[in-house]
Amino acid sequence: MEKDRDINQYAISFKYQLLSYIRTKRFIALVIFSLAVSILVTVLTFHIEYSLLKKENSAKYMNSYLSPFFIDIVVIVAAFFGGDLISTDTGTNSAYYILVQPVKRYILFMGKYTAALISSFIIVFIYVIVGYIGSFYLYGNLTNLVGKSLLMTLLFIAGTLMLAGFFSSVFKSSTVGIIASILILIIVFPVISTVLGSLEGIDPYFLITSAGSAAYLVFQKPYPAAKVVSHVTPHIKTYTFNPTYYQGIEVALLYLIIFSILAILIYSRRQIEG
Amino acid sequence: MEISFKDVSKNYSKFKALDNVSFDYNKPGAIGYLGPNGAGKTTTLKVMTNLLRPSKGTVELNGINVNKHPKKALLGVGSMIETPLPYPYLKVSDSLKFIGELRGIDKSTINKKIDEYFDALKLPPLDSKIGKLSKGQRQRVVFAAVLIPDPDIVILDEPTTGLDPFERKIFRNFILELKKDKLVFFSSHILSEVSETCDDVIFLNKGKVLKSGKVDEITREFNTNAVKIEFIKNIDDNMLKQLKSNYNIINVKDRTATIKYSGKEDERASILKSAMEIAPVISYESSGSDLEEAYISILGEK
Repeated sequence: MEKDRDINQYAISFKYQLLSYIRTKRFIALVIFSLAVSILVTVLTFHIEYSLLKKENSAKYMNSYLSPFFIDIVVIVAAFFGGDLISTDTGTNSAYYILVQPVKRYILFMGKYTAALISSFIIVFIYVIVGYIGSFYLYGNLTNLVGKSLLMTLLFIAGTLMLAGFFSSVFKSSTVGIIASILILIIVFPVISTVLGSLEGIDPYFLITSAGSAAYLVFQKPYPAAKVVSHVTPHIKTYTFNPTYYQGIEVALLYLIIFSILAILIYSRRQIEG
Repeated sequence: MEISFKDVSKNYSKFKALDNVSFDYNKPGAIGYLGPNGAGKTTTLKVMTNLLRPSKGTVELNGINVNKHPKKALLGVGSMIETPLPYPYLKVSDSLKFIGELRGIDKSTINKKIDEYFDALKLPPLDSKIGKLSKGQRQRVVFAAVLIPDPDIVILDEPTTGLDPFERKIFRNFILELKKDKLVFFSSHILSEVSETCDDVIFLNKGKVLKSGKVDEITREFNTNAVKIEFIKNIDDNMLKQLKSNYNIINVKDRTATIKYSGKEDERASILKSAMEIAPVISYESSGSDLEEAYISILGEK
């Protein structure tokens, strides 16, 4: 078996990129950030609503635990790991070390992406697992919906990370790629979601930040309605849209596929002008 | 082993960085690629390693078009272009293993080679992080990464620029060793290094190859063998007339005359003898031909 086959090179790219990621200050900082947010949320929730919580169940607890910060954490983590996924190779002198090797660029990219996905998942999972611990502490068990939630979480991270990876292929600078990812995912997408969804009554199902909420909505029993209309006054209505679980999965997969194709195309064609 | 450029041009909108560059080398040896800043040297090497695509023409490494089949073409090639930066958070050993493994080399062979180059290239401690190394240390790590796969073709872009004399010596000695059985193609500003290590040389300016050939043939062509004779008194018209009647005078200043000659020792002796017949000589200095004069002649004209 030839050792320079694509599949081996993918595994090697993944291994060393993961090794590199977990030694970065950003990985350590994001682990601390995720841990700090999760502990803070748990402590505050326990302190304020302990007696109420004791009357609920694991699924309800996980929904209320994840809903305030889950999307933001995924977006921040994906922006930091995806926002410079390609630009570290094409926008820095690492290009002269990596891209002159006899390896197809898409193979390098897939290895890097997988390493970024696992690094991101570790950080988000820290946030999620503190919720599981809280559930065990309160109820002595964990809802059987965690599998569905974790699958959605993984796809949500994968899609968001690929979107950020696409930005990193567009921008030459790593910093610009990360900032653009954060701004678009944390500010632009929520604004579009609010304007279209709440005010205009258009379902913003196509936004990945909206799709990602299925990871905690899955804990609600029954699953919330896709569209909720509230009458603020007899003439003013506001709308709340909830993606269905499968809609969430589809949107995340679509982001993953579409932006991976775009990112790989740009990465493969990119010339290193220096 | 073969590097072949056929009518290669590279344009950046209206700017022509390379203009119909052609050359072909297919034997072990060292090729020096010379030219002033902005001549197109690094662009050539980038096109050679598929970091850039040519606007026109074809580049082949070992008979394979590098821009169409980069993976195959780059298999037998090790290159160090600009100042490569391995991932800063990886350790020195991991950076070397990464490249070795990517190229399908056994782990035991990689470790053996790392040990070998650790001493030969005076590598920094293997557990130090790349991001913490000096430029010279990093260049040596990258050079080790170039050598670990034992490539047929080694491409180097001004490998000793910015390095201290000790580091330069390491590189120079390695190039002399490598060229015995590999094709080494390197750009440089340091002409003494090129004349010391290279068999062939290419002069490039404004993206065009101005001249190429064997180093010794080119230096002979731009012959600068000269003797500088210092007389006891200022050179007057009569002395100058006598000198000019027999020799090719390059320069006369006060009591010193510089005379160009073929480089043969007999001729040098004859010049000295004649000079002493004209007036007493108090000092005598000879200079040989070198690549620098050829460089200035070829590139200075353009």
